Parts: sequence; structure tokens; C-alpha cells
Amino acid sequence: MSPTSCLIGVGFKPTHFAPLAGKCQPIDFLEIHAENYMGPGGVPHSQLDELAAQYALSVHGVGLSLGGEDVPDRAHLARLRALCARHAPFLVSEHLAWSSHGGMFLNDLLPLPYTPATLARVANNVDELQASLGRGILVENPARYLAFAESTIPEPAFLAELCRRTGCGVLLDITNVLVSATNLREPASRLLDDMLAALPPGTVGEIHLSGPESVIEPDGATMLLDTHGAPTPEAAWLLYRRALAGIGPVPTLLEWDNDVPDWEVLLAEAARARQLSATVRCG
Amino acid sequence: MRLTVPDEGFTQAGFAAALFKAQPVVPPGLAAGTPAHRFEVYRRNVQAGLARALEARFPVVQALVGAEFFTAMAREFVTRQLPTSPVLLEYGRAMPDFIRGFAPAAGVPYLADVAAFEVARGEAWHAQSLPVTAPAELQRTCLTDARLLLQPALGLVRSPFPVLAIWAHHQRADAPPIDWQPQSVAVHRQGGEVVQEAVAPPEAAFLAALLAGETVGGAFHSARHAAAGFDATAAFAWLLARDLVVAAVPGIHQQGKQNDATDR
Repeated sequence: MSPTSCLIGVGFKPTHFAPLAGKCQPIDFLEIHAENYMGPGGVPHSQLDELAAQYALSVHGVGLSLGGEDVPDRAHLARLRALCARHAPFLVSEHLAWSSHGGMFLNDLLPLPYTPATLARVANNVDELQASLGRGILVENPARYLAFAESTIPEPAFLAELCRRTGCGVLLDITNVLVSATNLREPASRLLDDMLAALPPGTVGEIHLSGPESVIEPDGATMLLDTHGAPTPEAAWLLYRRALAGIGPVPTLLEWDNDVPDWEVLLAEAARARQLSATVRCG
Repeated sequence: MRLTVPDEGFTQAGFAAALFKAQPVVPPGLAAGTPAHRFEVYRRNVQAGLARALEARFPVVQALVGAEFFTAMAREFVTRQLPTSPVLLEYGRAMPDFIRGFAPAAGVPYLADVAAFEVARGEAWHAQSLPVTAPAELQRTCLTDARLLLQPALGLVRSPFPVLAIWAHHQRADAPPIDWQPQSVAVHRQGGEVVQEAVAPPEAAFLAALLAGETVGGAFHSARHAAAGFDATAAFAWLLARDLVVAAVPGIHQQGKQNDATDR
């Protein structure tokens, strides 16, 4: 357990600047999407400067395309490096996904087959990112809606091997475990257990919780969409407890990006995470 | 109608191409038994997501033409120019020019200028704020031959339409009625707020010349030619009162532009 293990955070939205700035909110850290803070200056950065005096910061990238076939975008690496230098986050994370192709940014976290070749590619990209930043990063498990014929490596083993090769950690998105397992028709508790069993001890550096949207498919089955626009569902809270029991407390973030609720709603979710986290050695 | 593609295995190129098809498709390489509509999640996310990014950037343009028209126009823009950078706050700078050439929008002739104004507001929000030279210090420079380094937040939109009044009409219910006259608007930032102010034609010519990198003397000259009644002292005081003059770069042999802000 590290000094940061019990930290509870929320995704920062400018609409919540007023309740956060200069107030003593029971929140330990704020997470930002890196790309929203890559302008030259202005209000976004001055808000962060003000908030950083009170809350720890976590930088969550959505644009590096670590799973992409393109060579890493060096200009974007430089922007991320500058952002981290400017705001000194305690966590930096990105996704096991691709989001650019042929020099075009596609604005979504797209899935990749899990094979020895894609593992080698992602590992190279993570190596380059970590070398560029001069620090370790966390890689998030994606929300998946489909699988590929050529995949030969289960996701938990893929992430575990990525950690071993690069020294990176994992941002375990509990809701993505629920979404992926539901969509690929396997029990979410089993996918979570496989993940916890496969990952080397100490590699989970952060947990994400958020609310998906449930859609009934043409065949009558349920599909989950990772919308970040609803309360964390009970099924995800159950998985969270299961993860805490398995690996102990980990910095936990409530992620709400669409239909952002009133501050109090977010605070109540954070309080619930804190309470659960405290039952496992946060004291 | 569902198009099928011969299954040659997954490639990012094939997957990416399928994301931009107008009709539902299934790219090669998916696991056997994958329901056809699963790929739809990605296709819709990508197409709707970029349109939503533009919607967030151009709320008044959207209000002027309605959500349905805007979405169709945004999708056309997206298919013509995908973002080349993950920094989406830069995406949409080309929207005013695109609208100028977008025939279905021709019935709303002021739409492109309103878009230019919304671009200027976005740039002002994200611009760096530079420390300014004290006015006393500035006055020690021979200003006639100097070029001014202005705050990067400062932008100017000159329009044959009342762009500010149109925009204001979509901000509050009690906005004054629109007077259909040409309008020039200076956009800048004061503290944490983007502000926009109508400026008279000679002052607009003065600002445009300064933003284009002309000397102060040259800008005075442009302003006097643009329209009668230009008050050089007042125009300069207007800039100083808003802390918009970062520095004066002296000398007649200064080459090139001193400010990368354009006449936007």
C-alpha cells in the first residue's frame, strides 16, 4: 500500500470549478483529459493552477493511440510532456486502444486484436511514451463491443505481459470490465478475477468507476455502452468491492463525462467509493 | 441495406475506412458470430462524436440553423476534413471558410461570420495571457515606427452583418433588437472571461492593421483612410485600458509580423 492508495477522485469538469475552487471538498484528486488542456493557456490552465493548490491531479490521455499502426505522434508526445511538466500530476494514464490512423484523428478508442505482434507494437509505444515523459504510466483496459478472429491472447494476459515488458501499470476500469464481459458474453466477475490473477502484484495504479448505458439488442440480449453519463451501477460497485478485496485499496476515480450531474451527486458517489475503500486497510 | 466486405482479416485501414461509410458495414477480421450491429457502436461514435465536438464549438451557428441542419453540415465538414490532431480544441478553425462554400447554407449569409466570431471566442478562451509593459515604458518608445505585440487572445471579426448583435440575441432573452448594419467585433479576454466589443469602422481598420503587423504609424494611416473621424489617441487608450498591448517593438528595420494573431 502506498501513501496514495486511499485517494478518491473525480473527473474534473469546468462546470464544477465553482464548488471546487477555494472550498474544502472531501475529494483528494481531480482527473483531466489531457487533450482538453493542450491549448497555449487561458482559462483552462489558470483553473488547473488554482485547483492544483488544493487537490492532486491525474492526467488521462485519450489521443496517443498506443495501439495504433502509425508511428507515435511525436508532436503529441511533446504536448503531453509539456502538460505534465506544467501541472505535475501524480498519475498519468492512457488507453489500450488506437484512435488515429494515417495521420487522421478518429476521436474514439478503437479496439485492437490481441496477438504477439500487437503486444510488441503497444509495448514499443508505451516504452517511447514513458521514456519521453521520464516516468511510468498506467494503461487502461478498454470497453469492448466486439472481438477479433485473429486474437490469441486474453486481455488480462495481454495487459500483464505489457506491464512486465515496459514496467507500466494498469488503470483498471471496473465499468469497462463490466461492459466488455457483458458484451462478449462472459461473467464480469470471471473477467475481473482473471485480470487480478494475471496482473503482477502492485500493477493496478488506479481504478475507474462510471455508469454505462444499457441497450437491448435485436436478439433480445443486453449490450452495455460505455457512456460515462449515468450513476455507477450496483453491478460495478460489487466488482469494485471484489477488486478491493483482491488487491487492497487503489486510487479510485468517479468518471462522469456526459450529462454531468450536480456536484452533490458526484460527491455522493465519491463518498461511497471512499467508504468501500476504507473497509480494506485505509483505516 | 448491409454491405458485406470479403473477409481478408483485420487491418486498421479497413476498420477505419468502414467507420466513415454512410451505410452500416462490417469490416473484415471480426470474431465469428459477432453481431453485425456491434461495429455500429464505433461507426456512430466516430461520426457523431466529431459532429458533437463542432456543436460544442459553434453553439450559436447551431441555434441559427437548427440541430438537424447543423448535424448534416458538420458531418459534411467531417468527411471533408478529419482532424489531424487529437487536440480537438483546434478542430473547426476552417469551419467559417467551409460554411462560405456550403451551398445549402447560402440562405443564411451571415452564418460564416458568426462562425468566425465563435472561433475567435474559442481562441481567446485558450490563449496565453502575457505580462504587459507599463504605459510609461511604452511611451518612451517612438511608437510611430514601432510594431505592437498584442495579447494573443485579441481577435477581430469584421462583417457586413451585425454579428455581435446576432450572437447576443442567442445569449439572453432580453437582448436589444438587431439593427441590420455591418459590425466589427473585437474579442479578447479580461481575467477569466471572454469579452466582445463592437468597434467602429476606423478603429476596426486600426486593429486589423496592428494585428497584421503594421507599424503604429501605418495603422493610424489605414484607419484614417478607412473612415472619417478616427481618434488615434482614443484608439490607443482603448488598447491600453484593456491591457492588450504586451510590448512595442521599436525600429524601422523590424522585419515581418510581430504578432501571430490574424485578422480573424
